[in-house]
Amino acid sequence: MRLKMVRDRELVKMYVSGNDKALAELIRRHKDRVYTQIYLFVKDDILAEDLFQDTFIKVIETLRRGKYYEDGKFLPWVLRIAYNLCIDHYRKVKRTPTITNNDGYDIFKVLKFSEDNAEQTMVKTETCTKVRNLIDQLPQEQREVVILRHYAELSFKEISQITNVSINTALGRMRYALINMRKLITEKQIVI
Amino acid sequence: MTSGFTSNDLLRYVYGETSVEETLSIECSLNSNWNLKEQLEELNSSVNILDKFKLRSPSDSSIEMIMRYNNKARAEELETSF
Repeated sequence: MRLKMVRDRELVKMYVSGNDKALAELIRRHKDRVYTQIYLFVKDDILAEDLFQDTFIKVIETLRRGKYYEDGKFLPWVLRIAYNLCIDHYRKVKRTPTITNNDGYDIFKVLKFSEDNAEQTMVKTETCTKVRNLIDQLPQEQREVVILRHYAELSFKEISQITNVSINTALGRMRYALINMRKLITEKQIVI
Repeated sequence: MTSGFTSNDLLRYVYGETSVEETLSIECSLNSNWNLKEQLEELNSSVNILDKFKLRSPSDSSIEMIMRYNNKARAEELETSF
């Protein structure tokens, strides 16, 4: 059976029944979205890798104990776990994510632009860094919605459930995030 | 906002979260409502900026670590079942 064609729901059942390849496929399918969400929250590659591993360990534990109930989609459930682990992390270190002026040095490590020449790679990397800096400068609540909606691709309804706000509040935060981004671009004359 | 749509409606439209009826209604209004069209273009241009940050991948070693954890848990489960 070609696992790439199998739906998440079926893969979960297959994994619970003992097929580890189904787990590998679930991870392959969703790893970038989950990792990017964590990375944008914590802004640190090493910490993001740790939290990514913790997320899937929690997924494995929950599935193996038969505690996963198909009341929603698999990916939103995983993203919720990742989100909660990020929140827990900041509670533990007793600080909230800070606004940083990132110099973008670490982006070279992970982004894969092997098909491009050096100049194209540099331009893409700079653009990515500029966008990430913009996101980092948003108020925390707005930043959160941007990450969850745009990169994790959760619906506004799912975001409202995860963050315990109304759908309209989630939508409003996203709107203000986009407005604030445009303001920052204008004020700081950023070219993207 | 004019034409009965709120800014939130337009944002839901940009992210493909409007119902078929809402989508048709918004698209119909866009043909005649310049103000609405302008707002949509503004929203789209902001969203396009976000698109320029590409998804990142975890390291292969993270994936391997997760699979090793799973294999270990599987083995322990087998041991206890005998």
